[in-house]
Amino acid sequence: MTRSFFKGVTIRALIAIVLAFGFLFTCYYRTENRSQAKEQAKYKEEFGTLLMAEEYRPLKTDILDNYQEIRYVYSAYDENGKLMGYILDVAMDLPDGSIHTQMSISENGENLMDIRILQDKDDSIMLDEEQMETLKGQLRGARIPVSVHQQIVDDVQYQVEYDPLLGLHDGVYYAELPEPAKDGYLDHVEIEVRGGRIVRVEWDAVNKTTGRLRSTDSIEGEYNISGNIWAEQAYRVQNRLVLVQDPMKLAMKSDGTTQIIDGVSMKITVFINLVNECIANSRASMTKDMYLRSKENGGEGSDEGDSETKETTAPAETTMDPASLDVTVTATPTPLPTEAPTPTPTKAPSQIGVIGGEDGVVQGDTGNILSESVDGIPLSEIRTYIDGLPDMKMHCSATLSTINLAYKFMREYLNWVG
Amino acid sequence: MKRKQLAPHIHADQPAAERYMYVLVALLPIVIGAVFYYGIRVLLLTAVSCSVFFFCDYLSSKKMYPELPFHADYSSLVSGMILVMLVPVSSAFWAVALAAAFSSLLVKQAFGGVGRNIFNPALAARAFLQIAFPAQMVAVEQPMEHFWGLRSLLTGKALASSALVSADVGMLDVISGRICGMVGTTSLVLIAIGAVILFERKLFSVYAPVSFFLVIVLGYIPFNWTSVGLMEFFLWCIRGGVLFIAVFPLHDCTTMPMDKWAQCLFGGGAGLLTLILYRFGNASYAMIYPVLMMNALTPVFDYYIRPRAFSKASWFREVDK
Repeated sequence: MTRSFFKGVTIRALIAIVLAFGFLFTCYYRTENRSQAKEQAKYKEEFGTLLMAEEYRPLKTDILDNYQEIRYVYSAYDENGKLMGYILDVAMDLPDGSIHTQMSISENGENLMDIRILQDKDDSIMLDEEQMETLKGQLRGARIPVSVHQQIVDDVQYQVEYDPLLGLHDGVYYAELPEPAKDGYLDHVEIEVRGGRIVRVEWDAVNKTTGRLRSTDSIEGEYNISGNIWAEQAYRVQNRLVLVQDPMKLAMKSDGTTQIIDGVSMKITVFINLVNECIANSRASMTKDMYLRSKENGGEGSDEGDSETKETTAPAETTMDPASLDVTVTATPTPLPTEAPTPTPTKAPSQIGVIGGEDGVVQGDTGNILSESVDGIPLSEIRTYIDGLPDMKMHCSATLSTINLAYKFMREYLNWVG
Repeated sequence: MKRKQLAPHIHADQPAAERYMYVLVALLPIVIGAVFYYGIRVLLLTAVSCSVFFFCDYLSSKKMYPELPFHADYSSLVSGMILVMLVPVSSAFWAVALAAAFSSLLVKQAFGGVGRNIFNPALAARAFLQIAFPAQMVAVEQPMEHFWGLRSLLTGKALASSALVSADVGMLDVISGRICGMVGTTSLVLIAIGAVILFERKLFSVYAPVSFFLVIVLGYIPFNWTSVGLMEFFLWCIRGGVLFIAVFPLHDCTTMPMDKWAQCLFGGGAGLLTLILYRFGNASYAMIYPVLMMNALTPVFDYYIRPRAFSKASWFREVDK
């Protein structure tokens, strides 16, 4: 082999390399754009009815390894590249068959945007069109996780229901602070007792200067605190009190906060004090009208109420008749049973004035609420209760299981993201 | 003293090593394309295949012809590269190495070494893989998915493709070679660049490849005159490697007849057998075995259709020792 031979070989090899790379890169950019457009068109056709977006990207995360039932997850973006939500494909094998759903979830992982059930196996659980539309109507826009109303009533309600305080008389009771706070708001709490149980709690404050409610101001951005807005935090505290019945079980710590209510970071000292006052009024049968009249008269009625409280001792009439419970409950996270429940034993009232246990520790049997769950999700996390499909309980439950699985994935993923 | 010497004898200005060197250059764009589409695993497969071919050639040469010096003519590298271009990227390394050893020892050296083999070594190795490991030979992958993916070195297990996007192909995909198939057979343009390099060096005879291609096209189209059938056939040709086989394994000066008319019959016969196998047999065999069958007939072609230079002489030339 001569030098000129090697020169010829080298030149031809270089030309071949240049031509090959030139051709490959040219084709790559042409085909890449086209194949991406084609891919996106396929995704739009597949997912458009769930969540129409400009671009869908497969979500690649190791967290999916922990969720074998989730086949794939796509994130959806609008034309500005802003995240619109997620598409999840979930297939579960259940004792009564299999279920395969596709759903869209909002970008913050909180709301179910849409859902559909696919039938791709012989034993697939299916709903007819009318049933599907009914279920979709209940689920669209719902905060997740979701549970069926009836399911809770049947399976969980009696297990998690807290015993009512003794000595409460039915009626509406009210308490407010003697003076407005430094910010001008005068806090008040109103509770409603029926059948010996607290069924409604309302906590708000009136600005003595403007006359506006603090809840309204917080929603409109006029009153700001750290964490969720004041109205939401107050709502959560009220709901929890309706659930646990006893302010002591809110486990307020020495700094005035509680850690057992999700999304509540503000101090609840005022609320606890006013609720205790309301409970005392209830025991003294001092209704809201009487309380307000006594306030107008310089507090005489209040003293009267206090004296009655001292005299109250676990009266016979406080042993409630569960059959008399009213089902119309406002702001309750768990509905009351529609049929006569098994009577729950009453117990001695909590000691008024002692709030919570040792710095946030819930005493005694009050911790059971955290151990109850639906699809492995604590009841305290369930955000929406739906009526479901009375004739298709199993189908409905299976559908909700896929949604709740998707919720668990989203919770883990979004926490991981940051 | 005179002795008789076996065919083929082709007069050329270049020694065999230089010819094979240019074949390597012609294969270069195809290898680049294969790496571009299927990742660095192609390079490792090529290294394994070429190494095994070379060492088997070297060892068997030393064993069988100890009196002769080993002549490195790059034919081992050419066969190794062609073999890898004809397998899916997910093929196991050991399977490719085994095929290369089989081909070098039993197809090439057993018949006397380079220039004396009856069957094309790379194609014979590919046929060996098709029989021994058929599952690996159909495990094709989507291109442009796993550039750095080495996967299992032993099992050769293919990776799953995208969940939703199927292998829809357009004309640009077909031309550029971005479709599922064997690693080096799908890019028409890159193969054409290789053919041009060979043609420019007068190392490419068009008779056998063109007749092969024409018989396949003309024999298929009249009976499948629908757009779906045509596209299916076209993709099969690309994926099966009609152009690559026509330019490289079929156009092997050792295993191809000498006369141009014989080359036409050789290519046409291979095309006809391909059509028959595709129509009535297994499509995955249809590209490989016809060429090997025609390789077996090459001595017959050379006997009956001799080049003019040999036509008036006896079959065996007499040369000085």
